Amino acid sequence: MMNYAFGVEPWPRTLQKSDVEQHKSVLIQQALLARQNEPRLVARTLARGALYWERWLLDKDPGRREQERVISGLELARDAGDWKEAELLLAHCEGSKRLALAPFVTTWREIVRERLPEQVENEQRLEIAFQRFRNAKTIEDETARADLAREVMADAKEIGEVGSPVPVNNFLARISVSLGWNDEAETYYTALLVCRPLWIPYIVQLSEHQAKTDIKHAFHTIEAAKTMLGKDFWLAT
Amino acid sequence: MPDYHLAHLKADQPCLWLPLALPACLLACRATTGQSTTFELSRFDGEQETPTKISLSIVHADDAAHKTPALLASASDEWLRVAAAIVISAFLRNSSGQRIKRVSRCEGGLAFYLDTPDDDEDWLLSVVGSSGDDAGEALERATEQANNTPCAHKIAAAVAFGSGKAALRVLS
Repeated sequence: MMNYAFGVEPWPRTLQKSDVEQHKSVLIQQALLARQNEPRLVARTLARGALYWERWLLDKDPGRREQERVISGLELARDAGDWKEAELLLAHCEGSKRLALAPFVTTWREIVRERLPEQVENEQRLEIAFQRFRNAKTIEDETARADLAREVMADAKEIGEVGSPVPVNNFLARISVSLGWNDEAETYYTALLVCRPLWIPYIVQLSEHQAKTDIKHAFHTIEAAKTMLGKDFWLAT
Repeated sequence: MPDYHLAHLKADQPCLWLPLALPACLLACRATTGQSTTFELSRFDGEQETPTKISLSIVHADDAAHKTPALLASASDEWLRVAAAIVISAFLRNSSGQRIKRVSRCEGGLAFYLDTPDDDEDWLLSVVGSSGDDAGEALERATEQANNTPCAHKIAAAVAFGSGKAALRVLS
């Protein structure tokens, strides 16, 4: 099993609803502590993970605790800076007889309308920064290339202060890999898995990366994923 | 007076995250590890004016101290609320066997939900922690929060850590 930041695990013990509720509860408390004591990107990653499971529960346990889960999800989307996820939750409300006309939906729709463009703009900035790094392939001086990498990573971390952790961690992982910074790459791949824990390409990316330096570690990740998703889970990619 | 050992929290209340819960309680009580803190709870059922008084002693866990500096740097309202939830849930665990079943986010912080024999019936525990002496004032704030949160059953509760007083009102 892998863990992130101060021992955060991306997955619950099993995909039973009670285990998922427990895991989500713990992630929410971990995000609360991280908000004050860790880099903002860590707190946003944990909030994004809790949001993932809140939406999972909304989907797998339909009609139960709907308003509680939607409100919790919206607050977590705000904590994570992921307004696209908030938009999906509002779309859920529009399709729900119970929630479509709830006053909080109108309030949140306005908040999301104001904040979403900033997220789109930040993601464009990230892509431009990554292109800048890729176009610098011709720089032969390794020190200069590493300096440029640190510069664009600093830009990404600045966006990580306010934006969604998914594209930021993805960006940081890609750059770390391209420079052979294995420890950093593993941290960012694990962060991506915290954000989207059942997204199989992230599991595969992480275990492939771990296999470069520690094959046992990679096997542990795969075995943990098999327990969760079934023995042939990677065939779904 | 019954004791509640926070060292047993991991097995007893798995939805609470110990590295936050234990130091939060220690800091709020201004206690040291292994020490006990005594609370007197006034329990009101519905519109009842005269409360039932219950006393409980919380025994702090030995491994709680290392996270307190990190917690001190954070917003106190949030960890005071967590500490109050621990104290109130210890009372409920002792009196009715209820424990915290899940934690959600809500406007302004965390929302705690209690388990019930019937899984379909949700109980919201709306709780406020105060470093002052007046549990009554904090209970009013918890009641207001509870009234703004949709749930079939609600308990508003407050802990005034300055005086060791706690108050709880079963709203519905």
